[in-house]
Amino acid sequence: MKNNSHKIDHALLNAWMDNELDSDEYAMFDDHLKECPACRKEVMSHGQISSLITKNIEQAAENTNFGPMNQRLFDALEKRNKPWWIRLARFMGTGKVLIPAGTLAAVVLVFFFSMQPAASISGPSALVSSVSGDYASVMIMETPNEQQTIIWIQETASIDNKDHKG
Amino acid sequence: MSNTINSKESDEERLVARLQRGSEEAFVLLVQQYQQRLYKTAYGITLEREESLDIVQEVFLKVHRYIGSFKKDSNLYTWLHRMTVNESLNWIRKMKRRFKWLHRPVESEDGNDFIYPELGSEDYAPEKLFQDKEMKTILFDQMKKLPEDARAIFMLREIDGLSYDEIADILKIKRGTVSSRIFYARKRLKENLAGYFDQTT
Ligand SMILES: [Zn+2]
Repeated sequence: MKNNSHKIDHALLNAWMDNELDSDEYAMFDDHLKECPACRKEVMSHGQISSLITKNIEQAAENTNFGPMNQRLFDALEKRNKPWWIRLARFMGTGKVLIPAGTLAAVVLVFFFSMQPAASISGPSALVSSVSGDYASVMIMETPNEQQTIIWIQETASIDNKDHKG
Repeated sequence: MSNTINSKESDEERLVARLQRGSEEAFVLLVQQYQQRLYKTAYGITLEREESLDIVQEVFLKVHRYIGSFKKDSNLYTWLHRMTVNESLNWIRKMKRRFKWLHRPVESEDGNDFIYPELGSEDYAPEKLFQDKEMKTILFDQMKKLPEDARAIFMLREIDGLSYDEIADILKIKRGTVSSRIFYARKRLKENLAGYFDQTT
């Protein structure tokens, strides 16, 4: 009971608190603790801090509203799961852009039609150079999230081969 | 925590199988089941509530993306927990880089820089403070003052109850480093909070 003044073995004490001693060491330190108020006090104050930390973190977790995070999570997943054309359709449906479906179809037709003479085209830059003719309007858009480029060409006149090739 | 291991394992296996088949209900279940535990881990390391929510969200997004390559014989929670720890540490590193100029100077060795006016006041009662919000502020302040790596290691021990070997494994550091960081964190906290606790015993 009276060895109040010894130098506390803090390393041992830490290992004891963390369950990192083997059983012999355990028994020894347990015995020592019964005898030594200094070490008991040390263990006690570490224990207080420890329980205060645990209590506060646990309380924070219990009081946290996960709802908004869950909402963001499932929104992100929905976006990830939906095929791009559904997202595109939604984007179009927002009213920011209105493209008649017929024009879209025309775009595709003009696009492929104009590709016919240049058979050896392989990349997008080459495609652009092969398009020729008169158009009332050409609109290039990008979808906000995916950066997919939509080229909208409204054709008015028949294609005549004025040379636009660079 | 004390559920029988067998039933828990098979529950988990079933959940993983459903997740791998792309079941949305299984994913909702996963989120409900683990978010609070993972949040505790993230919050313990970052000590930031909003960031911890973002971290947990990111972990679930990763689970959703990579569940297909998850091996059936590994432990789901271990995987989730590991990702949470890594995300949390990444966040800390990022913040450290970004706000270097805000970084607190290294404290004096004796810890004497820690002075709160309440300490000297006449009606200073540690028992009361212990439950006080004030105490929480003081505690968190001191935890934030710890070096990030020491705090993270210490919190993995305190909050998640991991052993030195488990922590060493997750962080890919030596066991000796784990024990010395925990030792250090504990010592600092005790020194800096001493005035608030000593009289309670
Ligand atoms: Zn002793």
